[in-house]
Amino acid sequence: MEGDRFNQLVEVMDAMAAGDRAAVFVLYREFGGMIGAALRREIRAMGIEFVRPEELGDLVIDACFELNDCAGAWRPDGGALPWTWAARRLRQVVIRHIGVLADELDHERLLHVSEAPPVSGAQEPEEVAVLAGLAALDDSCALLQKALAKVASARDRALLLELKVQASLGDPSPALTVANRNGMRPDAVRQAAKRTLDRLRRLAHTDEHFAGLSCLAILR
Amino acid sequence: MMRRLAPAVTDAKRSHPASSWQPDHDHFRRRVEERLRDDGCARPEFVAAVLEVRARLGLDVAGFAELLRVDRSVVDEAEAGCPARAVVLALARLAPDIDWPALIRGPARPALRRASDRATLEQR
Repeated sequence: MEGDRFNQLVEVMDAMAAGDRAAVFVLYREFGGMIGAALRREIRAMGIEFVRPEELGDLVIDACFELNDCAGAWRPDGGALPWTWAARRLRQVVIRHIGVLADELDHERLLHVSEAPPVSGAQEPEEVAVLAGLAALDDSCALLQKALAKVASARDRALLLELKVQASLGDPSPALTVANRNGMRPDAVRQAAKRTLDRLRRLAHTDEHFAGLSCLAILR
Repeated sequence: MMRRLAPAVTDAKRSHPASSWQPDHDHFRRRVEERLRDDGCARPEFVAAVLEVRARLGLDVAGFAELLRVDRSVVDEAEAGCPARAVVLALARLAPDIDWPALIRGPARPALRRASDRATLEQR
C-alpha cells in the first residue's frame, strides 16, 4: 500500500479506536474494496468458489464493524494491514454468514474404509527393534539407544518410543492409545515417558559423551 | 523497465477483484442505523445520517461543529440522538439532499439506560 493511502488508513483506524463513529463510514468507503478482497480469500479458503455480490457487500459491512470494534488493538508498525491482522475475525464473519461447510458423507467410500485393515502404530515393527536397526546406520540413533539403555528400564524405553511414534502419527491422545495397548492408565504412561525424558536430559547435560542428545527432536 | 511494466500493473489493478467492488452507501447507512438501534439510540436514522455527512466531509466533531457554526457539545448531542433545532437547520443548509426534519419527526425512542443510571433514578 502506498504511503499516503497507508497514512489515511492509520488515521481512520486511530479515529475508530478513539470512538469516532463516523470513521467506520470512511473505512467502508475508502477500503471496502480491499476488505472485500481479503474476505474473498477467506471464502475461497473455505472451498467456496463463488459468492454473490450482494452477499459480499453484506460481508464487507460486517467486516468493517468488526474492524471498528477491534481498531484499538491494531498497531500500524506491526507490519500487517488491519484486515490481514484481523484475518481470524474476518473468518468468523464469513462463518457466521455462510455457515460451516461440510461435504456429504459418501457411504460407499465409508464402506471401503471400514473394510480396510486398521492403520496403527501397533502394526509397525516394535519401536525398540526399529531403533536398534537405525542405530547401526546412524550415529544419533546409536547414541539415543545407548543412552536409553543407560537410564531406563526395558519397559520405560518401549513406552517412550511407542508414545513418540504414536504422537508423530497424529494420534490426538497418544498416551491413551499406548496405555490401552499395554494395559496401563494414560497417566502412568505419561509419567513413565516424562521420567525417561528427564533422565535423558540430565544425562545429556552431565555427561559429555551424551551431549549430542540435546540436539535430538525427541528431547525437545 | 518500470515504464514498460506500468501498463501491465495498471491492467492487473483494473482486473483485480477489489477494483470491481462498489460501495453501497444507503445499505451501509441502514446497517449503521440497525446497530445504533440495537445500542439503544433514540433517533438512529438521524444519527446515522449525521455521521455519514460528517464522514463524507472528512471532519472530526470539532471541525464539523465549526462548519455548522454551533458549539461542539451541540454536535455531540446530535450524534447522541438529541438534536437541537439549530443543528437541524444547519444540517439542512449543509446537506439539503437529506430530509432532516423527517428524520426527527415523531417521538424519540426511549434510549436504553445503563444499570447505573437506572439505579440513580430509582434512588430519586
